[in-house]
Parts: sequence; structure tokens; C-alpha cells
Amino acid sequence: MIYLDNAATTWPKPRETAQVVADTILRRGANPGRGNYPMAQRATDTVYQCRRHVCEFFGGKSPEYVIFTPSCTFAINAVLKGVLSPGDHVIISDMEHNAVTRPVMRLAKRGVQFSVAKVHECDPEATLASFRRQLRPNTKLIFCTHASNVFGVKLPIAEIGEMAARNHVLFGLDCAQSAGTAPLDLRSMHADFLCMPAHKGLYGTMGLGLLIVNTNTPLQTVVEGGTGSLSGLNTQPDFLPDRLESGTLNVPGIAALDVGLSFIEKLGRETIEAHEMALMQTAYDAIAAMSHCTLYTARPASESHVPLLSFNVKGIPSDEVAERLGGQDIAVRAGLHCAGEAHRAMGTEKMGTVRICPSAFTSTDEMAQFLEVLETIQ
Amino acid sequence: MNKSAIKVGSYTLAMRGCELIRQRGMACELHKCSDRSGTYGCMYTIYVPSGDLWRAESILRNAGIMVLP
Repeated sequence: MIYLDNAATTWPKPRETAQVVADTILRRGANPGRGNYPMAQRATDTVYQCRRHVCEFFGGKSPEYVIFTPSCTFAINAVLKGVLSPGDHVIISDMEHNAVTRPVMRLAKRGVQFSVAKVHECDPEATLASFRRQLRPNTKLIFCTHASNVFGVKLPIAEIGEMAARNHVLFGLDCAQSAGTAPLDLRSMHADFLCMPAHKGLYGTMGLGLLIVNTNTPLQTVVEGGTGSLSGLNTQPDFLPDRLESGTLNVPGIAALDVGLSFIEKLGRETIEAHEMALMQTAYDAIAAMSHCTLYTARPASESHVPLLSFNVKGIPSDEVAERLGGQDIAVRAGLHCAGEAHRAMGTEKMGTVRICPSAFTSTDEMAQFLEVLETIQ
Repeated sequence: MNKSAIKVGSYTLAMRGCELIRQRGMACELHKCSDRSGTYGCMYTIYVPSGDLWRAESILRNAGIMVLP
């Protein structure tokens, strides 16, 4: 199979991943942070080791500011619902995934105000101006995607972050499509919250997300419960990570994430990004030359895009194109990609798009084969 | 042991605390325990064999790690 659905989840995973998951279940299968017998200790150490690894990888403040969540969506909800109260204002972009749009719509029904800033592809100043125009005296949070999960368009997060800081507004990022591929270092950028899944560019497994907190502003809790700490108190601990981590953690997933991070470090994030971007540029040039296909963005480049592409075959619904590619053992994703707002912004909400996204494992031969097959779908 | 131990609320804080204490050249050990007063319940202690609790506690407090009474 030629797998080009890595924007949904990377596949395959590093060779060691399945092994470490099995090993964790077999040898570290106890509940972490609860018991004090050796296997429980090994599980607890596994969690802490990965927490520290994530912190170092993204230049975080300290390991306790790394929160393990069940998904990126959960992490985003934790920020939006943890920061915003009735009467507060939040700014999002018109490129958001439903993981951002839907909780904001729900909060709006409870009296939170919101504005949508237009993203201008390859024009960071215009995008920044869009965000700036939406600022209000009661703006408490700017929360946006780092890069569109449909079109790959990056937002100027450094500039938006600086503007947010100057205006004493918290700044959160959905890094679902950028973590592991694009540069993300909290030591050299301003962001208060990074949210991401483990199973995409970080090469972990499903069922694990990350919330990296980079502020001392406390978040209200969305979920409360057992944390293995201060169990005599009926109230949620007020320290991180326990405040935001109720319930048993996904230890096999955490061990897999640790392996995924090491995989990226071994290959080099920059190398992976360059490899994937070169594949996307090859694909872009070839698809642009196919008169029966439509592209929606400028030629991708690392400064302005993450390595993924959306296109359509003229006159054929995107789902049918994906099905025909699937019949040739080529995996792509079609439709609206859980991002109706982004499609509306680009005028593709009726037909959706076909999305391709490579990973570190995708070869130039595989991309060439995909393009050969695409040529025949008319 | 309790006279030479610092109490913190969670394993993560205890591990972070131990790392910081060791980085400053002091030995320490981490233990899970329960608060016998019944107030806090599950917690962790950082045992400092040298007995220099004042220094160890300041290392933790300077890093923003809450030390329990």
C-alpha cells in the first residue's frame, strides 16, 4: 500500500514502537503514580521519562508543565474551557479544525464572545493584521491552528504570539499538523499553550495527546478525579500536571511517544521536514501540470506551509477519487477533513478535497506511483 | 526518616525535585507514602540523607515546587 494519509495518522510507525508497547503491557503494566511496588514504579518512571523528553523536545518550562491527555482535541478543549468564562472574548482563525470551532461554538452559547480572523496564504502581515483587527478590551485568548489540516497553510505564529503578549492576551496553538515536522520551540517563541496529538508527526500511537503549558495562569479544570496524589482532599490538586490529569494515563501510548520522539531526533526534524516538503513540491508540480486537476494553494514551501496538499479532479467528487485511489491500494483522505470552516474559507465546502500527506517513511518512488495513477483518474 | 524528608504532592513534583537537588550535588531518595494525619492522603517524600533539609527545600521552592507541611 502507498500510504498518503499521514495527516490523519502517521503509518507505519518506527520499528521499535510495537515492541515498546508490548513491553510496556508485559513489564510495566501497573497503574502509574499509584502503587509503590516495582512494576508500578517502572510504569511511573516511564511516564516521567517521556514527560521530560517532551519538555526538552519543545523547549518547555519544566516536565510538570507537560500534560498527557487522551487526544489533541481534549487538550484544546482543556485550554478553551479552562481559560474562557462568560463575557470573555476569543479570536480564532478561519482555518480551524472542528476541535477548535465546535468547543468555541459551545462556549458562545454560554456567553463567550468570539471573532474569526481571516488567514491570507503566504502573506503573514495581512494575516497578522486580521488578528489585530479582532482584538477587543475583553479579549482573553487567541487560539488558532499552527497550520491548516486541509491546505497546509501556516499561520504566522511568532508574530501573532508577540502581538498577544504585547496585549496581555493568552495565546494557544493547535499543532496537530505541525508538531514533529515544523520548528516549535517555546524558548524562541511566545505561546502559552501547545496542543498536539501523539499519533501524527510525533510517530506515537492513537489515544494520547499533549498539552504543554507555558504560563503560570491557572486553567479551570474540565475533568476532575483521581490523580494518585493528595487523595485525602476532596478537591482537585492545584499543581501541574495533576490538576489537569485525572484518571489512569495511557502508559503504552506514552512509551510509544517516547520512541517516536527519539525516532525524530535520530533522523532530525529538519531532515524529515525537507524530505516531506520535497515530496509535496514534486506532487504539486506534477498535479499543476494535469489539466484535469485543481489545486488550491501556492506551491508549498517550509516558510509558508506544512507538507500536505489538497486537490480535486475536475468533475469527480473527492470521495470517488479517494475510493478509486483506494482501489489501487493508495490511501488518501477525502471530504471536509473535520474542518468545514477551512473549506468554506477556500470555497471547497461543497465538493471537499482530496488530501495527501507524506511521512518520513514515504519514498519518491511511492509518490511517483501515486502521480501515475492520479493521471489516469479522469 | 521523616525528620530528613520533604513532602510533596505528586510523583512528578518529587522526581523533578530530586533531579534539581541532585543537580546541586546533594543525594536524595524518593518514596511514596501516606499522610498519617489523613488530611492529604497519597504523597511522596524526598529523603535527604545529609539532613540539609533547609537547602533542599529552598531548591524546590525556588523551582516553584510546593512543599507540603
